[in-house]
This record gives sequence, structure tokens and C-alpha cells, in this order.
Amino acid sequence: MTILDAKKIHKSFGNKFNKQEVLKGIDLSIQKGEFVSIMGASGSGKTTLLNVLSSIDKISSGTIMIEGKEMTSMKEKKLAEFRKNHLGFIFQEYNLLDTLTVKENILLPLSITKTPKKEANQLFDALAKELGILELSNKYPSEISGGQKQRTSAARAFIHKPSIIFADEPTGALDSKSATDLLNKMSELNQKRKATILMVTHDPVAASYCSRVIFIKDGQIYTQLMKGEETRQTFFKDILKTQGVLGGVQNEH
Amino acid sequence: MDEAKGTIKGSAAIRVASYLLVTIVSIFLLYANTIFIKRRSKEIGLFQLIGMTKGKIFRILSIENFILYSGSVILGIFGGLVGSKLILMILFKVTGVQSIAALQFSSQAVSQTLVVFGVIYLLIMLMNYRFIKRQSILSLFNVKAKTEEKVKKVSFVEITIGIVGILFIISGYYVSSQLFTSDFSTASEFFMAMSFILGSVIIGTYLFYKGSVSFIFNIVRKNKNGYLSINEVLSLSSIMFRMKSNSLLLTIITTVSALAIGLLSLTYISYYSAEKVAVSNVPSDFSLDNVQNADMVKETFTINHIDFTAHEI
Repeated sequence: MTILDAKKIHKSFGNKFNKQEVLKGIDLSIQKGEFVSIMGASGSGKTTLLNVLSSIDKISSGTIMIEGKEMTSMKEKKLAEFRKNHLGFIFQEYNLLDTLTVKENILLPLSITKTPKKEANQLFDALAKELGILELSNKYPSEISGGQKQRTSAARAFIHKPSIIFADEPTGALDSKSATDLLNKMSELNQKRKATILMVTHDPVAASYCSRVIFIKDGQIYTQLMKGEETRQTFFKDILKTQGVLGGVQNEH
Repeated sequence: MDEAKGTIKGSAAIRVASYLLVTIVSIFLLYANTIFIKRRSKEIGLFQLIGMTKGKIFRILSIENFILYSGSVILGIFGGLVGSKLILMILFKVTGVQSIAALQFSSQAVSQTLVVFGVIYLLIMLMNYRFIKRQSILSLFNVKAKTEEKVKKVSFVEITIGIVGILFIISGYYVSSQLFTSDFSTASEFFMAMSFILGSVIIGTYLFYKGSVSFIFNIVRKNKNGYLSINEVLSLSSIMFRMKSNSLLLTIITTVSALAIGLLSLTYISYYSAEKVAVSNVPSDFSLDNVQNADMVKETFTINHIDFTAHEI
């Protein structure tokens, strides 16, 4: 089942006189339960792609369908409703509210959907146990480490069982141990709960946890790699090779 | 206070002062609100991301602000009531009046306060509404990075602002030097003149911080022709741009402290001159206005063996 289907996405910044095209017609479709990562050099438009796919930013032309619903033409109110039920977000800089405890932060999406308290608590306990943050539930974000913050942020994205989760460089601010930890948990959740995740990263290690890696160059899809039956190590080597080809500066002159 | 209201100058001054107070309070509150909402922009963005509509966020903000404002108004009115009694008691003590300070409650003042705060509240809500409606989620997450103003070249507009600011200040002071010498006789003329002085000096100060400072410093820098000593690097350029971006706050601080210093010196002048005036008006211990009474007093003094000197005019 196709969760996300994007066709001919164009996005340009600037005004009439000074236009810069960042996305030049990207086609993308993501199936249910996939763990996809987008890679590319800085400035290649990967974060912009994630922003437009996740309804944070508007596209210049093209169509984006999530769960068969056209998202580009939605009005503010419908869009908010849509985000509430179908989308989850993880950011590089966590974006937790410092005034709420870990548990309150995680339950925030549920309090907006007005989920009953008992059900919310059950959901929280199960998820927090899986992510290993159950004992932190009464701490404030300032009292926990970066890795724990990011796991809290991930829990907030997963708690309301969205159709798709968008992650923007989730390991960008973490040390390698917390990063591996987080990625392990994320791929676990991906397999156990059949959650669909779309992640932007420039870290090949992070990308090697995914089932599919899409490479972007200058606003277009360059190529994509499927993990298939490979082990993570060989997949990692493949990604590195592709990145080497991709990243090379052409000396044509 | 009622005495002061009776005179022309006194009533004009009190009216101008109350308008000034209202203006300062509203500017300050609006300014504070922009800072607060910018600080919370990330939170607002997050709420939108997890599925709250803009309308709902605005409603929550409005309720929150309403609780804050009504609470502070109620507290302020009670504080004012108690404070006014305390100040009245101090006044009686200082002036030596033997009287009991009654708790004064003016319903007119309360209703005026409520109206002023209501209008400010509506303005703030309007500002918040515009802020929430206009910002996209993406820009809400980046608001913090943009607060420090971009450093640009000093433009023609800025030079004009700078000159206009200085002109405003000069004209304000010129009118104030004319205030007591010439032909402002009626209360309304006095009121106009006073408001003009205050208005032009305050706006002038704002423009001064906004434009004149960087304009003058720019001239200084141009003369240095690119080579700045380390002290100048630390002082000139940073003051230039800091002052510009904080011009509103600096203006408020300047105005309030100028008012405070002005009032303080005015009180001291009147306190000091009161004694001088008394001595020069009535230099003797007793002054009597007819000869019979004077003779009677003289007689009493001689009977009781008290030395005295007498002057007759």
C-alpha cells in the first residue's frame, strides 16, 4: 500500500527577478512500512524536500498524496487536522518543550486528539519501555542527555501512530553511540509497528539502517539503493561507493 | 493636588503627564509582547506541527493573556488603593497636617484604568493574531536566528531620520525655553505647548537613537578611513548597531529617567525656595498691619522683659 506518492515536485525560492530552483521535478513513492532515507550533499535540497513532503513548506508545482489524500491544495484547518492524525516529526534540535516533563512532552499529540487518559497511559508505557525512557518520564528535558532527548522526541512522533514519520537529521546532534542506539530503536519500531519513516541524513551509517536510500543531487533524484537481503555492512559499503561517485566534482574543462 | 489642579499651569501639566503615562505604558507593553511572542515562536510552531489550528492557538494565547492582564489590573488597583493611603499618610507627616488619611476610592480612576488596559489588551491580541496568521511553520522555527538586525550600509533614509531627530529635539527645547516668557496664557494653549514639547523631544530621542547615533558615528568612521584602533572597534561599531536595534527600549528608559530627574529637581527647588520665599516675604517674627496692635504687642513685651527690635515701614 502506497503511503506517500509525490509527482513532479518543483520548489523555487526567491522572487520573480532572482529565482532559484531547489527541487526540479522529483517523483517519489513510499510504501507502508518502509524505512527510507534521503541523502545528498549540503545544498542539494534534501531538507527542502522533506519540508514540502511534510506540509511544513508549500511547493511551487506538483502533487503530493498521503494515504490517497491530496495534500497540496488543503486549507489551513484541514492541514492541521491532517497533521494531527497522519504525521509525526523528529528534528535535529529535538524541539521539546522545556517546561513539560518527558512524559508530558510525549503525550502532547494525544492530548490534542483528546485520547482517553487510560489509553494514553497504556500507549505511553509500551512505547517508553521500547525506547528505554520509562524511568525518565518525570524528568525535564534540561535534566537528560541529548540521546535521551532525541528518543523522547522520537516517542512523541510515534505515540499517535501516524501514517508516516518525518525525521530531519535525527542523529545530527548526537555522539556516535547515542546515534547508533537511536537508529537501532527506530528500525526496531519500524519493524515491530510497521511504522513508515522518511529520514533525511548525510551520515552513511544512519542511512545504512534503512531499507532504501534515495540520493539527491542538485534538486533531482540521482539514484536509489535497495537494501534487499544484504547485511548492514555491505549495504553501508554500497552507500559509501555511491556517495563517492555522487560527491565527486566534475572537472570537465 | 486639588490646589495644583486649580492653576492653569498645574492642570495642563497633570493632563500632559497622564497622557504621557498612558502612552509609555502602552508602548512598553506592546514592546514586551513582541519579545515574548518571539521567544515562544518555537512553541507555537510545534503546536501547529502536532495538529493545532492557528485559530485554536490564538484562542489559547488570548485566554492566557486575559488571565494575566485581568489579574495584574486587579492586583494593581488594590496595590494602588493601599499605596495611595500610605503616600497620603507620608504627605500629612511631612507637611505636619493633623488629620486622618482616609482610604480614597475613585470609581472614575478605576474605570479609566479599565478602559486603557482594555484597549491595550485588544491591541496586543491584534498583534498576536497578525503574528500567528502571517508566520509559516518554517519561519516560526527560524525566528530566533533573525532577531539580531542585519548590518546594512547607512542609507539616505537613515541620514534623514538622524537629522530630523536632532531637529525635533532642538525645536522641543526651544519651545520649552519660550514657555514661561511669552504668550501662552490659556489652559488649552499651555496644554498644547506642553504636549508639543514632550512629543517632539520623545520622538526626537527615538529618532536620535534610531538614526542620529549611527549617522554621527558613521561620519567619525569615514574620517578614520578604514583604520580603527582597538578601542574604536570595540566601541564605535557595536554602539552604532546595538543602539539602533534597541532604540525603542532606550527611548523609554531615557524618557522615564528624564521625567524622574526632572520631577526630583522640581520638588527640591520648590522645597528649597519655599523657605527662602517665606524669609523674604516675612523677615520678622511678628508683622502687624496697624499701629494700635503694634503698640499693644510692644507693651506686652516690655512688661514681660523680653528684648525686641521694631521696624516701621
